[in-house]
Amino acid sequence: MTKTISPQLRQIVADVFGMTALSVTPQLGLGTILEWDSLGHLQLMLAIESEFGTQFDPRVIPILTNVQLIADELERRGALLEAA
Amino acid sequence: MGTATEGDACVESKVERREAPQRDDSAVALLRVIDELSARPARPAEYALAASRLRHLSAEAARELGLRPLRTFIVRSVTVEPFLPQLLVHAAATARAHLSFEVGSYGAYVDDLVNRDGQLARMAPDLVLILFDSDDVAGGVRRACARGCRSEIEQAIDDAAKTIIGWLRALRAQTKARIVFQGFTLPDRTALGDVGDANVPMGEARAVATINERLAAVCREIGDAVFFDQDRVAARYGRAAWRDERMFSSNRLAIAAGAFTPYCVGLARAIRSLYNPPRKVLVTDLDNTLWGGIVGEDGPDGIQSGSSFPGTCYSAFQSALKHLAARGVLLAIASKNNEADVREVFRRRGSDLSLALDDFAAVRIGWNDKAESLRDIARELNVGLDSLVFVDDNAVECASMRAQLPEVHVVHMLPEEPWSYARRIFDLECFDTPGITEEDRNRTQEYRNQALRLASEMNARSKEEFLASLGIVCQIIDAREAPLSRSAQLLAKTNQFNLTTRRHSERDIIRFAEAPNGQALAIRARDRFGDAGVVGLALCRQEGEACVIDSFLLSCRVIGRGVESVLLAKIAENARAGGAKQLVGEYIPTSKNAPCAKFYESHGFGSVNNSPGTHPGSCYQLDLTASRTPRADWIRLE
Repeated sequence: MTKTISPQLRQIVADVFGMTALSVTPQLGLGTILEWDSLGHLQLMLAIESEFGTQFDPRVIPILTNVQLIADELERRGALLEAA
Repeated sequence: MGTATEGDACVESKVERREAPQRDDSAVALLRVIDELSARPARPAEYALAASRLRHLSAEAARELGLRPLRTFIVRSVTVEPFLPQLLVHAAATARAHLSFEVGSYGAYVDDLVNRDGQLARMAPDLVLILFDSDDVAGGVRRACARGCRSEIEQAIDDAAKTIIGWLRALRAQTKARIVFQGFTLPDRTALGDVGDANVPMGEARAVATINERLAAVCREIGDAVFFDQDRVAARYGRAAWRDERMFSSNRLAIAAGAFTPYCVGLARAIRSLYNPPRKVLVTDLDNTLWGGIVGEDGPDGIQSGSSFPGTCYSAFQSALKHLAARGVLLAIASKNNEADVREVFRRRGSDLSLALDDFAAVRIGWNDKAESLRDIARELNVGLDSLVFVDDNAVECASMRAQLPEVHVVHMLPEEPWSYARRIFDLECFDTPGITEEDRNRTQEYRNQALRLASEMNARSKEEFLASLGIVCQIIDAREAPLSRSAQLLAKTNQFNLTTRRHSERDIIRFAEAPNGQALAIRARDRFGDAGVVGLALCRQEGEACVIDSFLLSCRVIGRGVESVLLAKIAENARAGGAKQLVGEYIPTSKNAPCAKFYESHGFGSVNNSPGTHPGSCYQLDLTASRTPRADWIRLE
């Protein structure tokens, strides 16, 4: 498991929720901010799929509830991740 | 976007939100960003950012940018939220509309449509988008298709269509909002397979197409509604990739993320057709555009057009122009050539050309700068520069035109690919219109008639003699019978002889007609040169003892012949019959309607002093008990 979140992932989360990249921490997740509700979650997943050229299993999507878990899943799928 | 709240233990307090830009010039920059974004493949995050900035735009700022604010209610049976950012951006870019959304609940679509006290009714939106999945509202059809009994399938189609039509009529009865109804996509894979489904009398694909047809028809019936042909856009993209089954089954998202852009552009285009009138004139170059080669060098026999390649490409292009003319677009020529050479081509190669010189409403052949020719053409045809489309194979001419006349839509044809010409014409969206009227079909002929009238006018000894010689006959009919679509078209498109320039909808026309002592009149005019069809409109309402003329307009082709006097006289007659004592008219000046500034004064009305802050324009009043409006004796009223 990586401790550092890739800048690319951080930027997508930041852009989708209208935040600065610096505010995106590994613990940021579903329910921790107003914008990250269930619809925001779907929006984020779609943006990540598009950006990383990957497709998540829809049964897994609901349990990727924070940035760290998403990063782990992306790594598991072999999607492009750069250490910061 | 809120500000971080103090004291939250979790991440919330550390979240820094991006501030929405405060400076005014950022609004103009935003429009540039949106136009640029919509023209290329963009990342979802870019759309999210642009959409967020659009949402922060105030209604006044939006209007200053030329964006039309539209409060929009979405009636849906599927998930829509993921593509709303893209829809916001494309609506701004394509339709110049600033949408603000309210989304109905998943299961509440029937209530939204029919309940006069439901969520939609309470919002009182300007625009309603209806986005259904076929299985939700026409599921019985697919089940019947699986059983394969034709009469059962037709019954299921009929039941589904009738139900939805009932909802649409109920919606129209409870709101005057404009409506976009999304059609269903045809199935990409069917139970019977490609071969079976096409060869049984009523396969699944044909069944869905049949329902679509019936729903498109009811959009025409209810007025101010457009059928969004989702299937056409999906087929162009590839029906298989249009839906992501993974996302549909888990999240009821009916459009694949990769298809958001063509989908939203298609929706935006449908929205635009409800508000923006089509461009009116296509001006084409000749050499290497209308035909192959250069007549000045190759001679009339050397230019390419006709049944052998590459002449076939140019013939296809000419046919495409002919199609446009048939549905109401005027054709014009702007060419740097000797006029004699050009006439020779049309004379000698007539059998190889799909168009005759006579098919063009305006012709400018000479050695002037083309921008000057286009200004001339706009003046002659009485249209604005923003009604013109310019087609030329020469990159320099196109660049020059874009620089000098930015309102003109410029289409640069690639002369190395003449086979692309015809298709590029049909790609154009600037002629989009939801319907075609009789006046559209006859427009080119009417311009020919006008040319004959002008020639006759030059020969007449006086204006009176000319007018009398025309033998004008007018007919005044209910604006709802014009038909209604023609009346609405006049309201949307008429600029010069339009006293108040109120862009009323079909629904508004009906309200004027149905109100007690209200009037909604259309006037037809014909003369010995031709029938111009419905050329004028008036909408009036009763206010106490006065009959107030809300809207009075005349098509520019009949200005100056007295038709307006006939219409005004009829309004006065009806008003008197309804018991009105005064006739009140307004003139609201715009940049285009100076031609009618003196209309009421010249018809015997007196000017009325307005109390400040009531009307933006001038008010005029006629005492119906004391005066009659001037007649136009040379016009016979049927």
